[in-house]
Amino acid sequence: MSTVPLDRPPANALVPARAQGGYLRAIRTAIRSRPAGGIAVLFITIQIVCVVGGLLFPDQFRYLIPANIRVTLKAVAPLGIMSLGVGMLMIAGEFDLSVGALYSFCAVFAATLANDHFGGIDNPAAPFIGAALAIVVGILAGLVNGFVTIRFSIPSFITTLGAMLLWKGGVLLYNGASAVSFLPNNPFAVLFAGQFWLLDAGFVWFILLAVVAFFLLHHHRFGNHLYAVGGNQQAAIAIGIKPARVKLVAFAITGGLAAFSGIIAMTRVGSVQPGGGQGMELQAIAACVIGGFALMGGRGSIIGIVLGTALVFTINDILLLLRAPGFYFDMFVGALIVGAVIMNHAIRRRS
Amino acid sequence: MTVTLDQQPAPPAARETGSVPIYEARNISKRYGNMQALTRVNFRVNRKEVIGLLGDNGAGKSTMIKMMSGIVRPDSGEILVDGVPIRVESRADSERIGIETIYQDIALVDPMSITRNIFMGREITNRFGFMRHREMERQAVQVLDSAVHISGIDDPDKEVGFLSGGQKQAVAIARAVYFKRRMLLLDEPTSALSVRETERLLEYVARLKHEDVSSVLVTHNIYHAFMVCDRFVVMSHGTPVFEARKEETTMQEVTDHVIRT
Amino acid sequence: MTRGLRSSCIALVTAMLLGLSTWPASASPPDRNQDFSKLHMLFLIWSFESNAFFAPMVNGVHDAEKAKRISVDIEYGNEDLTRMNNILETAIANGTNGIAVTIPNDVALNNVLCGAMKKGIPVIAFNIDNSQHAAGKTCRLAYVGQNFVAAGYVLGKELIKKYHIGKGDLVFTPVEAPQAVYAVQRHEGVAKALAEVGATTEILGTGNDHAKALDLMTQYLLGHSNTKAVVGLGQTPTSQAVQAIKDAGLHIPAAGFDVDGEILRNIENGSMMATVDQQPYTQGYYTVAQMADLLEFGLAPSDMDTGGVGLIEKGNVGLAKQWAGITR
Repeated sequence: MSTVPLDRPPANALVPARAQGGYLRAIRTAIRSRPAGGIAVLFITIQIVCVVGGLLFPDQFRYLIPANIRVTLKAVAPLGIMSLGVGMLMIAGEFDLSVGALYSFCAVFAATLANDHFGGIDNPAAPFIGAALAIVVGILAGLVNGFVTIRFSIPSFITTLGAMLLWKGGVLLYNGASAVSFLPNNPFAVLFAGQFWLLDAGFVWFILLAVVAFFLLHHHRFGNHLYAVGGNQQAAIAIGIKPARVKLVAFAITGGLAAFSGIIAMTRVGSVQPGGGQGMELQAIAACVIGGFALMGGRGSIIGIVLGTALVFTINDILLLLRAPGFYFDMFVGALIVGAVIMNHAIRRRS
Repeated sequence: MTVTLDQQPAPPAARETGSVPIYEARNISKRYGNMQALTRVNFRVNRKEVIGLLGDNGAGKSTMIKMMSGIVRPDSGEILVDGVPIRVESRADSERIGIETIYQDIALVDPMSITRNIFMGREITNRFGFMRHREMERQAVQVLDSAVHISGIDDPDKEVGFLSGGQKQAVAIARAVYFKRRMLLLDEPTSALSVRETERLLEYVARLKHEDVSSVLVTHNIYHAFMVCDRFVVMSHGTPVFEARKEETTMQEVTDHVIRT
Repeated sequence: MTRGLRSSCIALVTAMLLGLSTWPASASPPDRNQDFSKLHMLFLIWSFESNAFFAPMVNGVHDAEKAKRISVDIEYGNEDLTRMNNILETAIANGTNGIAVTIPNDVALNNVLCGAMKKGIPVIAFNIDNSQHAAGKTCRLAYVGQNFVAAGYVLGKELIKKYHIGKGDLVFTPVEAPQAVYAVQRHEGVAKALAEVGATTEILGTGNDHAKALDLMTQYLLGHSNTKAVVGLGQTPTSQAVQAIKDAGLHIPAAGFDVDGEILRNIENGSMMATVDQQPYTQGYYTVAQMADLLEFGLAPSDMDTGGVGLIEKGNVGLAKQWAGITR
């Protein structure tokens, strides 16, 4: 088609920036343009400092000894897995405060099913069936959260606050206040709590799920729809995306992952307490915010979730290794949340 | 010769092309609570035609556009596409007809990149739904470069939130341009554009006509309308009150109808 | 002086000088009061830092820390078994010399504690031990805490004696968490005493919050006006018992477990019969002291029934009141 341009922009004006300039510029652009850029820098810096500290003072700061690496990786998994779901839902502009209660309920559900049915806990298939059904319960709970939120136009914060209390009481109704033991045989035990050198099964699951979530969020059209619905729901509707459908899927994923994280934690420890998981919903949101998520939705990344969670547990580990009093942990994480948000804003403003 | 409409219109006269209107709305009404937004509106768009939809604020122009693009469902009336009655009750329906819209409140998602915004909801994917980023970027670069001449956008990966108002509008235009098939609806598209960019856009709309893509242009600017439109429809209080072809009327007359009704 | 005597003197003086010169080189007896702070141990409390019950315990830990010159890391499990596991494993990786821990659930903690013992890190349990006192069952060397069943039995007998509880009488026994180990065991002791005279008990869960507990207990008593006595099985219900009885318009005796200012005031003015003090200060102090003795001198720790079967009653409430929250 013929055009009558008055001043046509130069031919290479639309070449993507990463082909121009040097590596340093590319790195700076990457940090500025990604929501997790700032936190990646912080995380890498802290790791370098810790590694150097561990090498220089191996007896006073046992950061690098295998047992410490093992326990830190083990600790990350449950919150990390839960945060993957919570984060993806946050991108769509919704919250799920019931994940901590689901973590507990679904674990208790899985344990009681495996102990009392399907041949008992010694039957190798029983824990698998119990766990699978518990994850189904988590998914259904998420769908209910989503349905009530969307159908009745209630803010998801409120819906899931109610759901949290319901599941919290529900677990006591279902099985009372006593702890339930869960001691499965192999292959379940090794698949979900086995230890391979430095990695434990929970951490491997976390990484696997993070990779799947990465492809789903950043490379699948569903992920694009999540961002659209969370970033500007009106625009998404105008384009023809159905926010209800997108959000329901996100709610379902969140519920399922919450159940999965509870099962991982329970298998590692061998029993589950009905009150466990309390407060994890806020910790998951905090990890996401530290990783660059916007509370309003539309902004965030999987790497941000992974780094945010990893950073929180790195700080925890450092404080324990330095034998600092426990309350420092809460204060540190609080400062980290505020600092991360300020830093992210500053970086974005300068772009 | 002008025609003032206050009754049912005569059946549409055949245009030079001698064809049936590509889009016709008959007796469309829409009410929001107590407010009647559209009252028994009759409106048609012919092939190779640019229509200027004018009227003061609150006349129902934006509602009309939203109705045509499917995101608002009429309470009564019928819609015909190529003479065939069709239900247009969702964006998917209007997309199937080949209608693209550039909205007044820019329908872009700020935290997303230009490429993802252009292809939002219509991503180029492989068999399993995974997006083909490189292909999408290539197309985005092409449409930004060729049709719309955006100033200052050098990276299709850039977040739309960092663009100026004019650049954002340009991205919205690029998206509509890329996906347009039969009809382009433009709801006050030049409000954030510079003079030069406005001129280019209007030229483009005129060009589209010859490529068999009709347009409906909602604007407050009579000069712009006269530059590019073939026919004017003035709306007031939810219904068309005046309709005329460009050669049959003057700017003053059209303006009078906008102001006085 | 004869030559022989002179030689002997020289020899003696030389020997003395030689002896003196080697004196610094020979080992002086070790100083049992030396600084042992290079030794550090973990003191892991099951609950929250904000739980007031543990305040006297922490004071006890600090006092023993000073007395034995060992260094102690106090950590809190926040009632989360996974968190407790993480803290334990990190401490083991960090080379801690000893572990003192509450064991609310031995299944969850067995692996890590046995692993610690196998590595040569001694483990002493305090305050709760779910495996119930049998050393060797859950890989720990000793338990420093109260024998809840015995204490409950003593309390129950005293209640029966003083207030003539008899056949068919109902005693209300509220507790924070009915399925917790301490609750089950205390209830067992009280119920055993009451069963001997044909009386029964009813448990109600109140949670840790004092205000909520007061509401629940009052409502129960309003609905069960034939209750003969109230025996709180934990600090929260015990502290609210007298007020709940008053609010429900009844005139029945109250007794319970654990200590706080309100409870002691009630004992002093006679509205509460007695309370059982498991003596958290003692648990803190002697757990640390025994661990220190083990690490410093190799002395083996032993079980300790803190608080024994002593009750705090009107006659001995003075000192308790004076030191409430600090060491009581």
